This record gives sequence, structure tokens and C-alpha cells, in this order.
Amino acid sequence: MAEDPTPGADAVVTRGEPLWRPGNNACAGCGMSLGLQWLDQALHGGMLTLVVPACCAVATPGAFPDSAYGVPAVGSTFASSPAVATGVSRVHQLNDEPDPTICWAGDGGTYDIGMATLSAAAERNEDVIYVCYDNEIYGNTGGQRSSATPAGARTTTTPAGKPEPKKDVMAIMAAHGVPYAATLSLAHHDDFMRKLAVAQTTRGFRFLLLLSPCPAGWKSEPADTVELSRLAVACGVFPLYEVFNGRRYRINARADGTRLEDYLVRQRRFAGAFDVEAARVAIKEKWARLEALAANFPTTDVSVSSETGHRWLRVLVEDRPSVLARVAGQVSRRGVNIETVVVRHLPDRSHTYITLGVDADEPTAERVAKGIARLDAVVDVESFVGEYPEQAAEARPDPTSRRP
Amino acid sequence: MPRALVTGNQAAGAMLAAAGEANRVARGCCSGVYPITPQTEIMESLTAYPFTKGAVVPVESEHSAMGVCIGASIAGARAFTASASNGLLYMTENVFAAGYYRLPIVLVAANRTIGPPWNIWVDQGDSLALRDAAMLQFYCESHQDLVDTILVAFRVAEDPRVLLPALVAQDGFVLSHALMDVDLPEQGQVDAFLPPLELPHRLRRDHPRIYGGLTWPRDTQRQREDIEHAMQAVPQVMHEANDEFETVFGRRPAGAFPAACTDDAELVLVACNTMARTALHVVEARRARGERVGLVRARLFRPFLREELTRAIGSARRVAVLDRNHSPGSGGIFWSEVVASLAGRSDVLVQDYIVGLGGTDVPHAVIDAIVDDLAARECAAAPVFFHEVT
Repeated sequence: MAEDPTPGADAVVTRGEPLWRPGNNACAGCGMSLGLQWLDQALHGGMLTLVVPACCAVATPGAFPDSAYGVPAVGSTFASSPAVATGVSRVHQLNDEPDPTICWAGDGGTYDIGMATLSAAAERNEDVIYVCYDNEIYGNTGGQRSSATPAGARTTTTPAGKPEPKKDVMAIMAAHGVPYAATLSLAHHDDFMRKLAVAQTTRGFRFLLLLSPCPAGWKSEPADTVELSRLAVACGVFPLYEVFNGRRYRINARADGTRLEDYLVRQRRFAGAFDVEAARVAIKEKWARLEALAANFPTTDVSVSSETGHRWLRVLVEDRPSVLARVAGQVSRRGVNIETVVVRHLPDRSHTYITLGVDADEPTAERVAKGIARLDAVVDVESFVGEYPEQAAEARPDPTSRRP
Repeated sequence: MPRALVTGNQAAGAMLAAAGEANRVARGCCSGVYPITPQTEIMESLTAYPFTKGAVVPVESEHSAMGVCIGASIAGARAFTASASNGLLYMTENVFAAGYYRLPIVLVAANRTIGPPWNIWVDQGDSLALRDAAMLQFYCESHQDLVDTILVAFRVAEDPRVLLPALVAQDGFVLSHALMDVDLPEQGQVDAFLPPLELPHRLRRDHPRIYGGLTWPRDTQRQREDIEHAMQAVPQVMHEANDEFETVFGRRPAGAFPAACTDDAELVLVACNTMARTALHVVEARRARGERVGLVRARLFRPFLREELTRAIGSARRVAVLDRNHSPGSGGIFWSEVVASLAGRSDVLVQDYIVGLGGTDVPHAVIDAIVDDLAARECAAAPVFFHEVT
């Protein structure tokens, strides 16, 4: 039996293997599979423990003795991933092991059978990152309705279309007051990476909802997976937003006028007597609620939290890979939570401004700033209290993901 | 060793905590807990214990309590919990999982009748419903037996030849809430008896593997066969654990089937838990009157050591099995095991008596009546529901 490298509080174990190796049997165009590869990128090769309930993510890595996972993983019982992750995470803490414990669960394990377990782990604020890859269907059993299935979608158990709307799991998780909750799209790479950086540098329970197109269940073309993700955001079906501590909502991308039909027409699950007008009304109502929740962020938030020591760090860095992670690492190693990250490239892409909202008092923020200043890619660091910087960029779809 | 006047729950809580604390030199301990009558005091005492390197997580269900134990154990910590009745049933899926992951989690049960209709009193139907999980099962007759068995259970479960979870059962209320005088081991002794846990297959960052992935039929059959081999190793491992226990604590825990007065017995009673204590009084009284009656206490139920049971019963020709449980359409669960053990012995009359369900009292008079009933029988009949003698 090989020995562990000495685990110190700051030891970051890197791995030679990708998180999600070739040879897995995920379907062509599987959003979950692409999501795992993006998760790998977001972790920059750092070690983690995966807890995966009985779902596609445990059926597709292959059968004993093979596994496509390049990291330690537990295939838990269906409803148990947050409970099992609790045990793993607590023992990691007892042994000063900094690797994150990440649940990777489908909508069945999240919205339905695992809801009580998820709610309890969130309420206890366990130090776990929970990612729900939401394909809006029980995909692994061949496409039955889940409470994440949108109204009107045909599944094997709603052959005439599902009468009820999709459950708003983000609202449920926000109501728990978890430190961080965010939605993720497979067409918004920068936004995905930024949110994973926030998640990794925040302690406590973090909930991430990834829209995960499922060609088998959505009756869509495998090649359309990224395009469907882009359209879902662009037409307003799947808002990209994040919620800090259950209170502060921030919208990352708004609908751009793309027609809902462009999203629907690529999926045969919406064929037939689908009520487009009703769907449009539902989307409008959803956005009205979301805009109201986000209306006071960030200005109200900053004026409130500046009294409690909320600060900003503006960092000018050379524009190259993994700098953001190293900057964020300097913050987290001092036990400081990052509440906001905004990344803006200079027009010539030579340098980037990283603006971090941190939950720290002045001496701590100064120590963090000094640590950041020592990184070789960092040109300048500025620490200040005040209004939220105006240059907050809205997330844009990765232009390379657009179909010609 | 300090003598203490404690309840069964206090004794069990103290021993789980001591075992957890003993692993402070390794990866610590972690427990997911959830209350249910009559074990609640156990989980309460765990949450209050000042572990040097341990975490007790009060979760939202028994299913998650075992889920936390699974995560903790697979990450290399010593893990344990307690439950009863419907709590054990709610936990069942993860109890099976713990066995199939080969995790040495210790689970204390305070036996309580399954509802509905709701009933908080003792019978053993709850833990026996878990009999087909890959888990050892011990049944305790007294506080001292409970204390000793919990420590032995950790030692046997964690042995690399076994690596299976273990359930230690005590009667709800009759034992869990009764005060008895016991030798309560000190932490130093527990440290000496329980070596630091080195789970050979724990999660390792430098050796990524998946536990609980997909498995093809043939590998699954092999995995189940491995578990059977682990069960077969239990008698030897338990014998060694008892030797070590005797060295450290100066007394020897019981074996699988502790027997009393069976040497020349014509009629033997088989019983478990506190009922076996009552039966012992009946046997001793009848012995004093010159009757050749004996008692075998079923302490280890999984694995069920058929040859050891047959040896314990000896030359007796009549066996009364007292079952405080009921498998509808079959009868008593201990009885079916005893019958299977004596399958080659057509000269032995085995009769099943289903008694004490839902906490119905089983006083001396009932057991006396059972002995009389069996002595008068020409041949065995279907399981008999034996009620209070009026």
C-alpha cells in the first residue's frame, strides 16, 4: 500500500490523471460528461474526493475493475451523497487535509430522492461543494419525469407533456442561506470557471446547478449540447446568476432577445401540443422575481457590508492560465471567504483585472494583499473599502461555442 | 477497573466513545447520529463527548446517520452509531452498503418492536430484519456483556480478515434503561485493546479508486463469496480477540453460544438477550429439583456458527427455541437457524415458541410452562405463539 504524501494544512496534492479519463461510456453529447471535464479544468489538477450517488455519473465511468475517474470516488446510495460527503469532509478536516469533497449528482438525486439529505447537509453548512448536473429527467433509467422536468416536456411517464412546472431548486437552496449558490452553463466557460473559483475559495456548503443537456432524454442532436446551453441562457429559460449567503443575488447573463422557439425546436421532447405562450409568461414571471431579488445588489450590499468590514482587492495580473486560481489560493489560505470575483481582460489581452470582494477586516485584507503581491504574475494589488466597482462584467457566451 | 452503576445506554455510549477516542492516534473518529427511543441516550452522550480527534454529526435521519458513518469510515476514521426499530429499517439500505463497502462500522441497537401500530417496547424483530446484510450481529444479556461485546465487536470488525460492520443488540428498556453494576474499562485499557484503525482500502489521494462503482455479475458473485469467507474467519478472529481482551481486562468475554447445564441435559432452551437471563434462573431452579435441563444463549447471530450450536446443545433430544421475533409465514428467526443447524439430527425435537412480542413480559412462569409443554410433546408442531400464563 502506497503511503500518502505528508498532508499539511497547505499541502495541495496535484494529480497526473485527468479527473474524467477517456474510456468512459457516457453518451455522445452528454452534458454531464463535458461538465466533469470543465470541473477538472476549474480545479487546475488539484486533488479532490468525489461522492457520486447512483446515477449516470456512476454508471458511465465503466465497470470493475476499471473506472474513468482519476480521483478517489465513492458511489453512494441514491439519496445519500450529501451524508456520505459529510463523513468524508469531516474526516478530512480532522486530519488537516485541504482537498475539497465534491458531490456530483443528477436532478433525481438532488431535487427528489436526495432532497432531505441535501437540505440537512446545507442547513448544517457542511464543507462540501455540491454540483447538480440537471438534465431535467431521470436519464439513467431511460427518461422518466423528475421534479426538474420543465412544464410541457414529454417523458416516458408524461407522454402528453408534464403539466407541472420545474421545481425551483435554487430558491430552495438560497432559502437555506448557504454561503454560495450559482447556476452554470456549458456555453459560458469564463462564467463557469469564475464560479468554481468562488466555490473553491468559499468555506461551507456550496451549491452549483449545471444545466446538463441530455440528447437521449431531450431528443436532441448530440452536437447541439453546447448550443442548447447557450440558447437556454440567451432566451431566458435558464438564468445565470449567483446567490451569496442566501441574500445577495447577482445576475450574470440576461436574455438577449433570442426566441424561445429557437431553444424548443431543437428538442423533440417539446414537440406536439407545447404551449409556447404559457412558457413565455412563466419565463417573464421568473425573471421579474429574479430581477427584484437582484435589484439591490451590489450597491445596497456594499454599503451595508462596508460597515462590517467588507473589502475589495483589485489585482492586475498578466493574462495567463491558472493565475486566478493562485490569486484565489492566497485568499483562502488565510481563511478568508471570497464573496465576489470579477475578471476583466484589458483589450489587448495582455493583462487582466481581477476584482475580489472579500469578507475580511483591514489587517487581514492587507496580509492577503501582500501574499498576492508576491505572486510572479501579479503586477499590482490595491485594497479598498467602498462602492462595488462599476466594471462588473456580465457573463457572455464563449464565442467559440456558437454554431456557424 | 472502575465499577460503575450505569444504564445500558450509558454503558454503550461510554464504550462507543472510548473506542472512538482510542483512534485519536490515527485518523480519528466520526459518527452520524439520530435519536429514536429507546437508544436516544446513546446518541446524546456521543454528541456531548469531548473527543480529542472526533466529530459527531446530528443528522436528519437514520439513513443519513449511516451515510455519514460510511463517508467517515471510507475516509479512514473509526465510525459508529446507534438506532432501534423503524430507525434500523430506515437505515437498512445504507447498512447493506456499509457491508458491501467492507467498512467496520459498529452499530448499537436497542431492540424495539417495529411499528405501526406504534410500540416502544422490546422485541428483536428490528435487528433481525437486517440479518441478510453483510454485518456481524451480537446479542447481549447484561450490561457487562454489552460493554465487553462492543469492544470485541470493534476489534473483530476491524480485523483485516473480516472488515465488516457489526451490530451489537441490547433489549430496549429492559437493558437500555435499567441500572446495573459493571466494570467499565478505562481509556488506557481501551487504547491498549483497540489498535489504531488502518483500513486497507480507505480513500487515498495518491491512489484514486472508486468504491461502489458498477460491477458485472461474475465480479459481484465473487464479492459476495469474499464476504462469506470473511464471515467464516470470524470464529478464529473472535477467539483471538477474546484472548487479547482477557490479557488487557482480566476477564474473558463470552463465545458465540454460552451454555449452562447442558452437559447431561435432556432438554435445552435456546434464547437470546435478557430472556436468556430469565431462562437461566428457570434452568437453575429445575436443576435444583434434579431435572436435566440446560440453556444455550445465542450471543452471536451473524455469522451463525451451526457446528458450535450443535456442540453446545450436546446430547439433548429436546430443544425449545424462544423467539422474541416473528417472520410472518415462517415463524421464529432463531428457530429457523436452529433447525437448519440440526438438519442431520432426526433424533432431536425442536419446537419454536414465539414469546414476548411487542415487549410482552416473559416471566419465569412462561418459561416454566414452555419447558413443561416441550417435555410433554410427542413431536414438533408449527411455531407456537406462547402467551402469558394466567
